[in-house]
Amino acid sequence: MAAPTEVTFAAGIFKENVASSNVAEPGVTISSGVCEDLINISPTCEPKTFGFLVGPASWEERDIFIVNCAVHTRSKSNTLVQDLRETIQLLPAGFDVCGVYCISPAVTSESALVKESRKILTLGIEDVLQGKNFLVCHLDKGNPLVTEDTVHLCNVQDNEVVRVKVHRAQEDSLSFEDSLIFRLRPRLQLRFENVHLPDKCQEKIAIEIEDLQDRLQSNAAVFHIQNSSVLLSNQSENDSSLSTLNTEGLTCADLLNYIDDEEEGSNSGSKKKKKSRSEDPVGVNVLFQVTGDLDTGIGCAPIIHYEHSKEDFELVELDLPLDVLVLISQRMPLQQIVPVLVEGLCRQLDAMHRCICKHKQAGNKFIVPRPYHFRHPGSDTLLTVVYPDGITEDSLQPMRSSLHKLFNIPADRPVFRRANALVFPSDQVWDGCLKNTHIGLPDPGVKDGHIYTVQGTYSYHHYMQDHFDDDKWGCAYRSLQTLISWFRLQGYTDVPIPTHRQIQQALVDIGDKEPSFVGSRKWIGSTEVSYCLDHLLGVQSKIMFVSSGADLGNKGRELAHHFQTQGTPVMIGGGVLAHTILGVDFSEVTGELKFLILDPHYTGGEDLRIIQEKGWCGWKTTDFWDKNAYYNLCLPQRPKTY
Amino acid sequence: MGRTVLAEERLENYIQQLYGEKQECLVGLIIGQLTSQRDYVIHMARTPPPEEEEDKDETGKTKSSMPPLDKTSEHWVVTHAKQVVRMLPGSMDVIGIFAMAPPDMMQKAQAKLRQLIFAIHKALSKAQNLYNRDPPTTDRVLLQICNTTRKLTCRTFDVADHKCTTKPAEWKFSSFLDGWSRVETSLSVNTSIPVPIEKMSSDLEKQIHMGLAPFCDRIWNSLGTIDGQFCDVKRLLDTSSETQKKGKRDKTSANISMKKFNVDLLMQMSSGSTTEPTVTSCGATMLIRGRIVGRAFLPHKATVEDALKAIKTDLIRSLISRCDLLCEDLLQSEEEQDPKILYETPVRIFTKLGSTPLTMCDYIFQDEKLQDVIDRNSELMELHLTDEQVELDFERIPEENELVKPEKRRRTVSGSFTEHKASSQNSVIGVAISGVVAIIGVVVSYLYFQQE
Repeated sequence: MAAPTEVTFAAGIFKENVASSNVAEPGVTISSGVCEDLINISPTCEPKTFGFLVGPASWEERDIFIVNCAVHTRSKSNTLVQDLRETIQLLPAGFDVCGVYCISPAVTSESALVKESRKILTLGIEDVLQGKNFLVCHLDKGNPLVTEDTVHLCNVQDNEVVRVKVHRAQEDSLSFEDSLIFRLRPRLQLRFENVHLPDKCQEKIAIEIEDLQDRLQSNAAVFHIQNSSVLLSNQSENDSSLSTLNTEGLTCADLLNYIDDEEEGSNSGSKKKKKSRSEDPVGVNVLFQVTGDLDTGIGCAPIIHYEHSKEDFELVELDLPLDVLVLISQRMPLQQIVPVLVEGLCRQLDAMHRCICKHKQAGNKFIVPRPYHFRHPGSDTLLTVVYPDGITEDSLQPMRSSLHKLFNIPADRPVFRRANALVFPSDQVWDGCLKNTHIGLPDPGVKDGHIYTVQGTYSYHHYMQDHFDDDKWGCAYRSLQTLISWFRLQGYTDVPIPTHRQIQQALVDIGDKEPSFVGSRKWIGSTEVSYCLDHLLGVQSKIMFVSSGADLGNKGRELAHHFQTQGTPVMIGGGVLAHTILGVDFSEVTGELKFLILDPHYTGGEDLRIIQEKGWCGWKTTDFWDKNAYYNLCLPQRPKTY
Repeated sequence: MGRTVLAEERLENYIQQLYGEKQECLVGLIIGQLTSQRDYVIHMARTPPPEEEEDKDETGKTKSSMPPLDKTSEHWVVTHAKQVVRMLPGSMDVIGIFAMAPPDMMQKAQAKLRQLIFAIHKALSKAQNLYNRDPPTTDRVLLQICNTTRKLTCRTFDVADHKCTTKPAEWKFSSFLDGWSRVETSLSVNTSIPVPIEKMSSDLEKQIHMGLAPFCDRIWNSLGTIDGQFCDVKRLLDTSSETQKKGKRDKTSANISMKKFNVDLLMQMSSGSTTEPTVTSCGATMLIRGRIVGRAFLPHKATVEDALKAIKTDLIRSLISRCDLLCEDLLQSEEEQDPKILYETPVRIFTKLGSTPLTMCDYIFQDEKLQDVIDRNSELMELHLTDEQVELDFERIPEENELVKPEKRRRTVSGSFTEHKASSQNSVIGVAISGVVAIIGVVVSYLYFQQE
């Protein structure tokens, strides 16, 4: 075995590769987040079970591995290959399973570990990894440390196991500064014959899925970079009638120079990279060349095969709404990009195939599989999960449960619900309400203070919205709407934001109010808000009573604790007014306290500048509260659900 | 402010020639291109006299005589238009009719002429829904030729408006072909068409039309490149035209060289319509595959968008036309229904349009001869072709191995899926039917045995 060589690395995950290209020796860099994760998970795993190590795919010849996420499939050797397939389907293209970790029963000799690694080489992993070399990381169940002695590189070509230099990165997660995200959203038509035997049906679908994959891999597939005239394909220049971009010597970053500003695409002068774009992935259209001398189909005048079937058959047609993310380094040579794009599409087709078969409904109903993107909470890794349309979140609980287990994420809050999915700037649809209006406010400036705010997203509900005049009486209703918006946006519920009337009806339904209350302009308070949260969402709240506005100045620690542990917006009612508290700036040293207030009494339009400048959303001192009034606070508690 | 109708200069001679005809009256089709600004007439073809029982096997075409103009058979002229439209390249259409008669007969036939224009539009637009989706204008041209005074009167009708009044238009002879461009492509067709149970009783033509509609949609919605370049659709097709403007005018249509552009189409693979899964009960499947060539001609200053529309129109029209020809042919032959049938559509050929650099086209079944094409073009298009004026080698007939229907099967067998070994390597025994165009048709069908 060759002596391992030191690999230097930088903070950026892809800078890593650049740095290492000077060193030119194989090695693996593991984020400290993954190391922690492995240490935590190992004791809970059965011996001789496996999990996977995930990181950006290396585009270089050498075996340079970066691991920034682990997937705990708890596979046995007979389920390893299938679990590997399913794991890969969760990853954006450009990310790969780069290794396997294996829980070993006890401390063993090096030769025993090598023997184990050799065994793993025979399990058929390399077929799924398309012949790439991979790591095997042996974890001692009792003392799971990742060291040079426990990590092997399995060389697939030579069928050999070698040592590899291991470097543990300081960072919890390796960031993606240098990466580019591409997004492909073709709708691909899938047609298949519906056969009533499940196995046969799966088979029929598989044939068609593979046909789509074949087409994507053929040289008829052409990728058009949106807002540019760049076409990329697998065709070689000689046999192509398309002048696809000459990629020689270019990197993926150079691609950005060809993208025009969206405003006026026709002027060739505007070849500047737009900074605002960086938030959004680079859109890529997936097209199929149907003309020219491609070796698809036959070259004669059309012929028609007309075939009567012996029995009538059912044909199922649906458009698969692919939504593929591809995450690659800006420094990757552009010549290598097409296979990565294709890989992303093929992975998602596999995932959709599985989703369709798994959720085939009784009575021959088929679902539309729809991809959702999530950010892995422990690292910046993007994950894509395909959920069936029309199936409730409740019914999908088992699927989420397994995802939480796979990524070792506590099952105490929603992470993989559809509402938790990433929303790219270009996806945002205006629903009539501003979101997180406190972002961009100047610092409240409490000396030695620490700021605690709402976790996640809420929307701003205030007077006069939805063409409904509730001026002077609806503030608590609006505050309740903001609270409910938070539970919606965090994925706890898909109950729509209730109208004033629906809120009143809820209070009548639980017996709190007389039927005449519905349609009235009567105020409600913190307790009614908590009743409604309970009745409509099943959310429990704590009620905090404060005898005077001045007393609120002493509630800093309690509120800070609330925002730290619950992170939900708080409704406060006192006198004739209701507000929403979004956070506090609290100093443990001096006790000084400021409140981040969202004021529902605003009657203007959805103009963030006015809302922030005029203080409709802003930091307030304790003087904001009426000294002569008593206050009730409703502090919603996160349900332990996911 | 009527339209300006520019007629290609050689048509002046054609009209002169008509005056010498013995016939008192005649009608014919005006072939050309409508654009938003002006109309180009590139050819005129008179409608052959109606067949009468005794004329059936007569080869001469001038003997049978036309009825008086106001007694012209609408069906006959419409049939002529339907056949001619298949013989046109992209961007060309039957844009109107012409009629020649003495003044009093012309006067009596005014209502008839209007009727003919509307009838032709109605008949053509049915099929055109598949390919001509975005016509620049709905005006159609009527040219009246008085063989007493030799005066030409040109008017236009708006066929979208049944109550429209005629508008006067200016008819001018001009040599406008300089600066025109030719765009070409070849399209790979590979589309599978399920036939729903409720359509099983429809005739083959209806089934094909219905089944091809989504494919035609995709062609229509595809993106295109010009000579491999992805370019702004508002750009001029021929960007060199600006600089080369000087030193023409003296060119006659014979020595114009025409710029050629190659178009490629990039298609999306969505059906575009269904969002929810649909389940359809089907009784049969059609698989249409092969390669067709497309060609269109574009006037000076045409944009990329014009060119793409023209070539798409041409491809769709060509695909539909040859299927229609096949179906018409089958109607005559009335084959018995076989469970597996293999049809071969006719092959497209191109024909030179007189001395111009333009070409028209035609379709030839395997059992037809070049002479059949020449005769047909003479009769329907008034094109008198020599053998050399027919371009035969742009498309070809299928080779034996191409007639085997490809079977889809799993490429790899992965762990989770049950192994499936297809045992029956079916040898395809199909009935291949080949045919001939309607008017002068002899139908031959033969059995075709495909052995593995």
